[in-house]
Amino acid sequence: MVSGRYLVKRFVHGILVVWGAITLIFVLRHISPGSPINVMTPPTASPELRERVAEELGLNQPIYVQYLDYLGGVLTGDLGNSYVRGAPVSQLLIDRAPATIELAIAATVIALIIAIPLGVISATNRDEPLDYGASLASLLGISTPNFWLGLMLIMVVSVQIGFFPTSGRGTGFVAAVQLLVFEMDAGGFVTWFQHIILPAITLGTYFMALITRLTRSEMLEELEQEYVQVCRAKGLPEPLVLYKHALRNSMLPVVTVVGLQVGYLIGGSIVVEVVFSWPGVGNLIIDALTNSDWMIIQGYLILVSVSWVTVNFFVDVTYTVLDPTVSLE
Amino acid sequence: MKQTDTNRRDLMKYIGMGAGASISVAMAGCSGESDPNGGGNGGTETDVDDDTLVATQPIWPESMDPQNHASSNTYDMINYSLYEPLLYNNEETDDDGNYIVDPYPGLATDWEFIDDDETELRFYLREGVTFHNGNELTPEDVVFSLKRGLDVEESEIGAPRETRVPTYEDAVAVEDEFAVDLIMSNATPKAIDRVCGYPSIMSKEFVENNDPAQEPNGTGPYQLEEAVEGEELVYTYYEDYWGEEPDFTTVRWNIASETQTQVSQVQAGETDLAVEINPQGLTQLRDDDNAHTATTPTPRSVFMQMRNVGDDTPFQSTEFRQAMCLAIDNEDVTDNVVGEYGEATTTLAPEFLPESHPDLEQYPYDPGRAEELVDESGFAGTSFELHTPQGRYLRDSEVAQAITEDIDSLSNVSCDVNIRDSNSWIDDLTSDNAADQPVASIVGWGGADFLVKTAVVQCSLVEGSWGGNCYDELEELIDEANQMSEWEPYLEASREISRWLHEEYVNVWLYNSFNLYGMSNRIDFDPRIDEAVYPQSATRNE
Repeated sequence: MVSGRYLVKRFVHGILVVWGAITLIFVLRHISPGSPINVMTPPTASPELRERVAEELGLNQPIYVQYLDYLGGVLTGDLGNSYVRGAPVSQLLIDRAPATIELAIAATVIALIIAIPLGVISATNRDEPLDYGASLASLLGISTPNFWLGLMLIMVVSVQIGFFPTSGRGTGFVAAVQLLVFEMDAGGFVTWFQHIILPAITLGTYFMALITRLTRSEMLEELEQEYVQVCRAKGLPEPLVLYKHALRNSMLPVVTVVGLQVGYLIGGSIVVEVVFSWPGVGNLIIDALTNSDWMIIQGYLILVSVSWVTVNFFVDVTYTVLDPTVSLE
Repeated sequence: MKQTDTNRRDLMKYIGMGAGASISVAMAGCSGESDPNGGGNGGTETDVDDDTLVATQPIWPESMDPQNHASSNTYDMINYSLYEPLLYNNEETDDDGNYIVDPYPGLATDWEFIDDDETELRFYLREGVTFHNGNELTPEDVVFSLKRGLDVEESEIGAPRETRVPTYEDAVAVEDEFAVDLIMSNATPKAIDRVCGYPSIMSKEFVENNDPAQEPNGTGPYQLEEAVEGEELVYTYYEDYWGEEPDFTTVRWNIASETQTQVSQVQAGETDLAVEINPQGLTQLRDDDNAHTATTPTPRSVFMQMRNVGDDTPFQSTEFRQAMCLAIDNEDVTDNVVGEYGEATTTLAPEFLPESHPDLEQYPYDPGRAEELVDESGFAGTSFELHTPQGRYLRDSEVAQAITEDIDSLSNVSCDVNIRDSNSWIDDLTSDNAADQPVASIVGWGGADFLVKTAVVQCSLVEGSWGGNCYDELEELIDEANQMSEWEPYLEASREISRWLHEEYVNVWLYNSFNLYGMSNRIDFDPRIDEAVYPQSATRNE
């Protein structure tokens, strides 16, 4: 049950968190070394050109004026213009965000599809070879750096076997669906899948391992509960006992972690995007960090903070769907 | 309650359907061929058709505006593919084996000095040339482009690359002729060389009514077909192009910032040309039957800059600077750290430039003499930090660590390496205040125009920045060389500058770095010394 008052309270909290993040990011930008003027001008630029650029950027204004200007811009959706590219940051983020969100969702789906059954199998076969195998797999998943895993997948699956392309996005999910729906052509979908599968596995592996371990431990706890024994005593088929009753009750902590991890996947896909040349915000931020393009860095960090706040809000609401006894007021 | 139960059941149903759909897609994907229209980084090898060249660069272009960026990658993807200069540089070697700029017609079909002083250079323009939007090329477009690219006062973007032609004074359209005059402050034998390749010619009318940073419109052999932000630029052959049709009528520029990804793309046949790879990537491709590689020396010199301005620097002493030159075993460092991808050098001018002095030799490695010189300089016991960017130049931080070790092994000098973020490092290096500049730093500086290159680094060209490594005598020599209007006196004066740089131990000259390219066996591509990549010059490998 979610009350309107709770929603308003969470919304206000969210706004405060994002405002705090914006302020912190702004301060960090101003105490970081490196001048935007150097980004926008060549090393041989004359003092006149440097002065002119400073004026154009408003860098000759007092810092509180710059802050208020920036804050006002953010409120109207204007995150300023990239120092290097001159293009509006909000447009760049809008152009790139779908690729990152798509990748994060794909990684989550792959992780959940594998992790939840694996966790259940592991719990129901406790201390048996299947359990050891699943535990070993999740241990490997947690301890494998995704940078290394991505490169290995490219070298083995793409270069040696030639099964999937090494990099790039191919086509977007929405474009693939449009092609399928309006032209009955599944080619776009295949291209989309071929391009996304390796980055999604790479990004989702750690997540998958984490959920497998969590599902296993929660299931072990649930399977000890009396209601499970009652279900079995009543003669319910075992899959129903496991997946309808025990698994559902063990899902609350999993949902919490999923929520936190989706935020992490959006913010933490940078390495995977670089390895697979995935044209998302992660790659954009790497270019921006290389060039000290603080306008893009600021915009990206705001996007990440908004993503975290939003995802966590939905996680809280999901609690009430999974467990009717949870009330958010 | 009942209502809630139904919703939950529905939710589970949807999740199940979603999972089922995903699995179906997965199975379809595993069994299918890639879509030729998929775009992106090419998919599998079969995606690349015969007329398409796929090339990979590490970063997305800074801007589509060919005159308002400072990135060599952007030059390749924008300037050299979509736009054209008045003259191209057909790189040649003279009888002595020196690299020379050999101008050949671009948008100008002919050129000549029209005054005895050789300060007014007339370009006769190619007729019938059109921009990609259909506008015809006019002398007004050329004047506009020259001013926009070189005239700090008149350019609405501040002519950020004005140092490419430091003698620029004005540009005017010639009455009753399809020609333009470039007026220069003084004669120089480099006048024509300097306009080879820059600036790119833009349509005045188009720039005044559109944003060239977002929408390119040149006269080049290719026009922009599609730009997929962050992923791919697709160019197609411009049917009304005045010149020869290139072998590849479509060019797809991909972006892959990770070298290993670029290498894998070449190995998998997804890209034909990887423009910036590192030595490890080059080694991998050399061992691959499906690929071949190319390397070329560049005029980029890497050196240890020593700030001589300010009371806090020991490098104001010639003896101390000389000591540093003798303390570093440069040939050993170059051989072992840079390997075959660089050549030890004696000044800012690599050996293949005619301006290099033929009699200069590497400083001998003599740490004993270096210690004596440090004592003589009065700076015994000095400690300093050597600043270096990481990954900006070939093996920069590794070289910095190696030479720091050499210096630190002297008994009377202590040296530490400071590996820096590239941007804050350049911020300090170009600071208006010399005291804020690092006392010692690894710097790499390119450009085949020796005088401009020297003048920029040694501070006489740009007021304020780079002011920490400055010598009055050198400035006089540069000024003198800049006044030379004939080739031989110019060459003599330039070689004198080379000698002076070497003998005054201005910097510790380290190496000239090479550029490394990986290619699929489908194509042939000759890399250029000036680092430019013209996709139209790639040919099919028969």
